Amino acid sequence: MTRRTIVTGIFVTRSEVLDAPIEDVWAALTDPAALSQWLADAADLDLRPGGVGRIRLPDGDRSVLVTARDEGRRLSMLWWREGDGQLSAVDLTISPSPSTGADPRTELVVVERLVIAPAEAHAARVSMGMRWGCAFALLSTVCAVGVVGAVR
Amino acid sequence: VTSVESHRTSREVTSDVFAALSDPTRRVLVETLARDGDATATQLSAAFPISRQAIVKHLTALAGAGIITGQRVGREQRYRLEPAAMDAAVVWMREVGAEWDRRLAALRRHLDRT
Repeated sequence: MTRRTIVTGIFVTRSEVLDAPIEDVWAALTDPAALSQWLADAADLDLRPGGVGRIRLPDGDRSVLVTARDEGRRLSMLWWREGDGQLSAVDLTISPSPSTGADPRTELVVVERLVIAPAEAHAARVSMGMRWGCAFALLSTVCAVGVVGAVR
Repeated sequence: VTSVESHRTSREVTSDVFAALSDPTRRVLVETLARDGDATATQLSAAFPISRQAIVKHLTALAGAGIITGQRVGREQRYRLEPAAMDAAVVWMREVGAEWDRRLAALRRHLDRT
Protein backbone atom coordinates (compact mmCIF):
# COMPACT_ATOMS: atom_id res chain seq x y z
CA MET A 1 0.00 0.00 0.00
CA THR A 2 1.38 3.39 -0.95
CA ARG A 3 0.90 6.15 1.54
CA ARG A 4 1.20 9.78 0.60
CA THR A 5 1.12 12.72 2.96
CA ILE A 6 -0.37 16.01 1.93
CA VAL A 7 -0.81 19.33 3.60
CA THR A 8 -4.37 20.08 4.51
CA GLY A 9 -6.41 21.71 7.23
CA ILE A 10 -7.79 19.37 9.84
CA PHE A 11 -11.48 20.03 9.97
CA VAL A 12 -14.87 18.40 9.84
CA THR A 13 -17.70 19.84 7.82
CA ARG A 14 -21.36 18.94 7.52
CA SER A 15 -24.12 20.42 5.39
CA GLU A 16 -27.69 19.75 6.37
CA VAL A 17 -30.98 20.90 4.83
CA LEU A 18 -33.55 21.27 7.58
CA ASP A 19 -37.32 21.34 7.20
CA ALA A 20 -37.73 24.57 9.13
CA PRO A 21 -37.76 28.30 8.41
CA ILE A 22 -34.48 30.13 8.91
CA GLU A 23 -35.84 32.02 11.93
CA ASP A 24 -36.52 28.75 13.77
CA VAL A 25 -33.06 27.38 12.97
CA TRP A 26 -31.42 30.61 14.11
CA ALA A 27 -33.36 30.40 17.36
CA ALA A 28 -32.14 26.82 17.85
CA LEU A 29 -28.56 28.03 17.36
CA THR A 30 -28.72 31.04 19.65
CA ASP A 31 -31.00 30.12 22.55
CA PRO A 32 -29.01 28.36 25.31
CA ALA A 33 -32.10 26.36 26.29
CA ALA A 34 -32.42 25.15 22.70
CA LEU A 35 -28.69 24.40 22.47
CA SER A 36 -29.03 22.03 25.39
CA GLN A 37 -31.58 20.10 23.33
CA TRP A 38 -29.20 19.28 20.51
CA LEU A 39 -25.69 20.73 20.69
CA ALA A 40 -24.80 19.79 24.23
CA ASP A 41 -26.17 18.04 27.29
CA ALA A 42 -26.20 21.43 28.99
CA ALA A 43 -25.30 24.96 27.90
CA ASP A 44 -24.58 27.97 30.09
CA LEU A 45 -23.50 30.51 27.56
CA ASP A 46 -23.61 34.20 26.69
CA LEU A 47 -24.14 34.08 22.95
CA ARG A 48 -23.26 37.70 22.22
CA PRO A 49 -19.95 38.34 20.40
CA GLY A 50 -17.22 38.05 23.03
CA GLY A 51 -19.57 36.11 25.28
CA VAL A 52 -18.19 33.20 27.24
CA GLY A 53 -19.62 30.16 28.96
CA ARG A 54 -19.54 26.40 29.16
CA ILE A 55 -21.22 23.53 27.45
CA ARG A 56 -21.39 19.93 28.62
CA LEU A 57 -20.56 17.29 26.02
CA PRO A 58 -20.61 13.53 26.53
CA ASP A 59 -16.81 13.44 26.99
CA GLY A 60 -16.60 16.46 29.30
CA ASP A 61 -17.17 20.19 29.57
CA ARG A 62 -15.92 22.73 27.07
CA SER A 63 -15.20 26.39 27.71
CA VAL A 64 -16.67 28.51 24.94
CA LEU A 65 -15.92 31.94 23.52
CA VAL A 66 -18.31 33.43 20.94
CA THR A 67 -16.04 35.01 18.33
CA ALA A 68 -18.60 36.30 15.83
CA ARG A 69 -22.33 36.59 15.42
CA ASP A 70 -23.89 37.72 12.16
CA GLU A 71 -27.56 37.95 13.04
CA GLY A 72 -29.66 35.33 11.28
CA ARG A 73 -26.67 34.05 9.29
CA ARG A 74 -23.64 32.89 11.20
CA LEU A 75 -22.42 32.01 14.69
CA SER A 76 -18.73 31.38 15.34
CA MET A 77 -17.21 29.99 18.52
CA LEU A 78 -13.98 28.70 19.94
CA TRP A 79 -14.30 25.86 22.40
CA TRP A 80 -11.73 23.91 24.34
CA ARG A 81 -11.29 21.45 27.16
CA GLU A 82 -9.37 22.81 30.12
CA GLY A 83 -5.92 21.31 30.45
CA ASP A 84 -6.05 19.54 27.13
CA GLY A 85 -4.35 21.99 24.75
CA GLN A 86 -6.77 21.24 21.96
CA LEU A 87 -9.08 23.91 20.74
CA SER A 88 -11.73 23.92 18.04
CA ALA A 89 -13.08 26.79 15.97
CA VAL A 90 -16.73 26.09 15.21
CA ASP A 91 -18.68 27.93 12.51
CA LEU A 92 -22.42 27.48 12.08
CA THR A 93 -23.77 29.18 8.94
CA ILE A 94 -27.40 29.14 7.82
CA SER A 95 -29.12 30.23 4.61
CA PRO A 96 -32.54 29.73 3.03
CA SER A 97 -32.63 26.56 0.97
CA PRO A 98 -34.68 26.22 -2.23
CA SER A 99 -37.89 24.45 -1.31
CA THR A 100 -40.04 22.43 -3.70
CA GLY A 101 -43.13 22.69 -1.52
CA ALA A 102 -44.74 25.47 0.46
CA ASP A 103 -42.69 24.81 3.59
CA PRO A 104 -39.48 26.82 3.89
CA ARG A 105 -36.24 24.97 4.36
CA THR A 106 -32.89 26.05 5.72
CA GLU A 107 -29.41 24.87 4.96
CA LEU A 108 -27.02 24.63 7.91
CA VAL A 109 -23.30 24.32 7.26
CA VAL A 110 -21.12 23.25 10.18
CA VAL A 111 -17.35 23.52 10.14
CA GLU A 112 -15.27 22.45 13.14
CA ARG A 113 -11.61 23.16 12.61
CA LEU A 114 -8.81 22.06 14.86
CA VAL A 115 -6.77 25.04 15.99
CA ILE A 116 -3.21 24.58 17.12
CA ALA A 117 -2.42 26.43 20.30
CA PRO A 118 1.29 27.00 20.91
CA ALA A 119 2.51 25.86 24.31
CA GLU A 120 2.84 29.41 25.61
CA ALA A 121 -0.77 30.23 24.74
CA HIS A 122 -1.87 27.05 26.44
CA ALA A 123 0.15 27.89 29.56
CA ALA A 124 -1.33 31.39 29.64
CA ARG A 125 -4.81 29.95 29.32
CA VAL A 126 -4.29 27.54 32.19
CA SER A 127 -2.67 30.07 34.51
CA MET A 128 -5.07 32.93 33.89
CA GLY A 129 -8.27 30.98 33.85
CA MET A 130 -11.08 31.91 31.55
CA ARG A 131 -11.60 35.62 31.83
CA TRP A 132 -12.34 38.18 29.19
CA GLY A 133 -8.77 39.42 29.00
CA CYS A 134 -7.48 35.89 28.74
CA ALA A 135 -10.03 34.99 26.11
CA PHE A 136 -8.88 37.80 23.86
CA ALA A 137 -5.19 37.26 24.65
CA LEU A 138 -5.81 33.69 23.57
CA LEU A 139 -7.42 34.82 20.35
CA SER A 140 -4.41 36.90 19.45
CA THR A 141 -1.88 34.18 20.16
CA VAL A 142 -3.40 31.01 18.78
CA CYS A 143 -2.37 30.19 15.29
CA ALA A 144 -5.06 28.65 13.16
CA VAL A 145 -2.93 26.89 10.63
CA GLY A 146 -3.22 24.17 8.11
CA VAL A 147 -1.51 21.07 9.32
CA VAL A 148 -0.52 17.83 7.80
CA GLY A 149 -3.12 15.18 7.27
CA ALA A 150 -2.77 11.85 5.64
CA VAL A 151 -4.37 10.21 2.67
CA ARG A 152 -3.86 6.65 1.67
CA VAL B 1 -0.68 2.55 15.56
CA THR B 2 2.68 2.19 17.20
CA SER B 3 3.49 0.50 20.49
CA VAL B 4 4.07 3.96 21.97
CA GLU B 5 0.44 4.80 21.33
CA SER B 6 -0.92 1.61 22.78
CA HIS B 7 -0.85 2.81 26.38
CA ARG B 8 -1.83 6.39 25.63
CA THR B 9 -5.14 7.81 24.55
CA SER B 10 -5.62 8.88 20.95
CA ARG B 11 -6.27 12.39 22.24
CA GLU B 12 -2.84 12.54 23.92
CA VAL B 13 -1.12 11.30 20.80
CA THR B 14 -3.08 13.77 18.70
CA SER B 15 -2.01 16.62 20.97
CA ASP B 16 1.66 15.69 20.59
CA VAL B 17 1.40 15.43 16.82
CA PHE B 18 -0.44 18.71 16.42
CA ALA B 19 1.83 20.51 18.87
CA ALA B 20 4.88 19.35 16.91
CA LEU B 21 3.26 20.56 13.69
CA SER B 22 2.36 23.97 15.12
CA ASP B 23 5.68 25.30 13.83
CA PRO B 24 5.63 26.34 10.14
CA THR B 25 9.22 25.19 9.52
CA ARG B 26 8.35 21.72 10.81
CA ARG B 27 5.35 21.55 8.52
CA VAL B 28 7.54 22.42 5.53
CA LEU B 29 10.07 19.78 6.64
CA VAL B 30 7.27 17.20 6.70
CA GLU B 31 6.08 18.34 3.28
CA THR B 32 9.62 18.07 1.94
CA LEU B 33 10.07 14.53 3.28
CA ALA B 34 6.67 13.59 1.84
CA ARG B 35 7.51 15.04 -1.56
CA ASP B 36 11.18 14.15 -1.95
CA GLY B 37 11.54 11.07 0.23
CA ASP B 38 13.99 10.26 3.03
CA ALA B 39 16.75 12.77 3.72
CA THR B 40 19.50 13.69 6.17
CA ALA B 41 19.63 16.94 8.13
CA THR B 42 22.45 18.11 5.86
CA GLN B 43 20.39 17.49 2.74
CA LEU B 44 17.38 19.22 4.26
CA SER B 45 19.38 22.22 5.47
CA ALA B 46 20.54 22.85 1.90
CA ALA B 47 16.94 23.62 0.98
CA PHE B 48 16.16 25.82 4.02
CA PRO B 49 17.44 29.28 4.91
CA ILE B 50 18.30 28.18 8.44
CA SER B 51 21.28 26.41 9.97
CA ARG B 52 21.74 22.66 10.01
CA GLN B 53 21.69 22.89 13.81
CA ALA B 54 18.23 24.49 13.69
CA ILE B 55 17.04 21.82 11.25
CA VAL B 56 18.25 19.09 13.62
CA LYS B 57 16.32 20.72 16.47
CA HIS B 58 13.11 20.69 14.43
CA LEU B 59 13.71 17.11 13.29
CA THR B 60 14.20 16.06 16.91
CA ALA B 61 10.85 17.61 17.83
CA LEU B 62 9.14 15.82 14.94
CA ALA B 63 10.78 12.53 15.94
CA GLY B 64 9.67 13.07 19.56
CA ALA B 65 6.06 13.21 18.38
CA GLY B 66 6.53 10.06 16.30
CA ILE B 67 5.99 11.89 13.00
CA ILE B 68 9.41 10.93 11.64
CA THR B 69 12.07 8.40 12.56
CA GLY B 70 15.82 8.61 12.10
CA GLN B 71 18.13 5.80 11.09
CA ARG B 72 21.89 6.13 11.29
CA VAL B 73 23.53 5.95 7.87
CA GLY B 74 27.28 6.52 8.09
CA ARG B 75 27.86 9.62 10.17
CA GLU B 76 24.37 10.99 9.82
CA GLN B 77 20.77 10.21 10.66
CA ARG B 78 18.53 9.66 7.70
CA TYR B 79 14.95 10.74 8.43
CA ARG B 80 11.75 9.27 7.09
CA LEU B 81 8.08 9.98 7.60
CA GLU B 82 6.00 7.74 9.80
CA PRO B 83 2.53 8.19 8.28
CA ALA B 84 0.94 6.26 11.16
CA ALA B 85 1.37 9.39 13.28
CA MET B 86 -1.04 11.12 10.94
CA ASP B 87 -3.64 8.55 11.89
CA ALA B 88 -4.23 10.77 14.92
CA ALA B 89 -5.62 13.41 12.60
CA VAL B 90 -7.86 10.86 10.93
CA VAL B 91 -9.12 9.69 14.34
CA TRP B 92 -9.89 13.29 15.35
CA MET B 93 -11.88 13.85 12.16
CA ARG B 94 -13.78 10.60 12.59
CA GLU B 95 -14.66 11.25 16.24
CA VAL B 96 -15.63 14.89 15.72
CA GLY B 97 -17.61 13.99 12.59
CA ALA B 98 -19.58 11.36 14.53
CA GLU B 99 -20.35 13.94 17.23
CA TRP B 100 -21.76 16.34 14.64
CA ASP B 101 -23.84 13.62 13.01
CA ARG B 102 -25.38 12.92 16.40
CA ARG B 103 -25.97 16.63 17.09
CA LEU B 104 -27.58 17.27 13.70
CA ALA B 105 -29.96 14.35 14.20
CA ALA B 106 -30.88 15.85 17.59
CA LEU B 107 -31.36 19.27 15.95
CA ARG B 108 -33.80 17.74 13.46
CA ARG B 109 -35.77 16.20 16.32
CA HIS B 110 -35.74 19.52 18.20
CA LEU B 111 -37.03 21.43 15.16
CA ASP B 112 -39.75 18.84 14.61
CA ARG B 113 -40.98 19.43 18.16
CA THR B 114 -41.03 23.24 17.93
